[in-house]
Amino acid sequence: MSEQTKRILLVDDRAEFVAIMAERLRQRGYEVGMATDGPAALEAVRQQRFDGVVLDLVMPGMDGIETLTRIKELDPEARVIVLTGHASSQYVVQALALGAADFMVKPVDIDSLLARLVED
Amino acid sequence: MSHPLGDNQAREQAVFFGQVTASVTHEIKNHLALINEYNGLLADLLAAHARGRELDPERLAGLSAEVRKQVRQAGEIVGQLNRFAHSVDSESEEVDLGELAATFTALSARRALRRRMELKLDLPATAPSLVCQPFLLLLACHSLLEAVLEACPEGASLAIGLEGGEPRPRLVFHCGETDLAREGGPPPWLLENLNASLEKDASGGLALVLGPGRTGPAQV
Repeated sequence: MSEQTKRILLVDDRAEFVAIMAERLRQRGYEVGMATDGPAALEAVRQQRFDGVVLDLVMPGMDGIETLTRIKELDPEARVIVLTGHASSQYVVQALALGAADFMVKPVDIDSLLARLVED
Repeated sequence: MSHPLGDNQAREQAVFFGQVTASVTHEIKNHLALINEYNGLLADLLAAHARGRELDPERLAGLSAEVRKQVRQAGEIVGQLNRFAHSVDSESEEVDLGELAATFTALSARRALRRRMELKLDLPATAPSLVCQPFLLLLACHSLLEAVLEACPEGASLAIGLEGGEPRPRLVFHCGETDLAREGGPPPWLLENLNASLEKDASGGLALVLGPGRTGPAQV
């Protein structure tokens, strides 16, 4: 792996969605971590640093807002993009206030997502 | 202007409609997101092919099958949402309780999943029917489910059964070994409107005992 390879963590309770997005990101040269719930995402962030995190909001157990809060506690510099089916402005405001870099609504164009996630 | 049902009852119904719509449209978004990703992957593979990489027909067939699956699943949930939307069409009609229970289970699956619970539906070969307003019966089921979800441990299995026949069919909610208390659930005005009662089931579940059905319009 070259030093330039960027790492992205995908967090979504839909394993199928995580798997296919991971495949597309790998084809674009990224290293990808995958988690289908909040605790697994936190464990991944403890294990290694990610250049970007794509985080779903609505998940069973620990939801995306709590997961975001705890990711930022573990790594205040983590660049987190919230990607969800929810378009509620209440969630947007809350996520941005907690330090999310941006908020995108599914379905999303993967290259637009990448532009906001790691290629600024 | 005050609502003929009273503000609280009107609000309960509006909140229910909103919760179901929000949950189901979220689910539809998830299917669209997957279709979008499968389409994106197909485009990625075609772009790679244009650069000289060989296409794998089996992979393409697999992706095509996944898209079909997502479209079918999204179509089913849209169909259930449409049935739900039409449940307010008439004040009183003959309702097939098996179909209503299936619609309710499909619409509530995501809500249960958020507590890591899977809803299982157990229907008899021939389901009884009941004359009522289907929307109010769905609301009663929803109120009961909310109480059951609150009482059950996360991850428990939750079964909805349709038992008994006319004139007093029962929709029974079971949550594994949990002995459900007769707390919460449909409010008195709703039970009265449906001519229903909430009763403990001998095996620890909670039963919404229905009917006998009204022959005239529901008192809404």
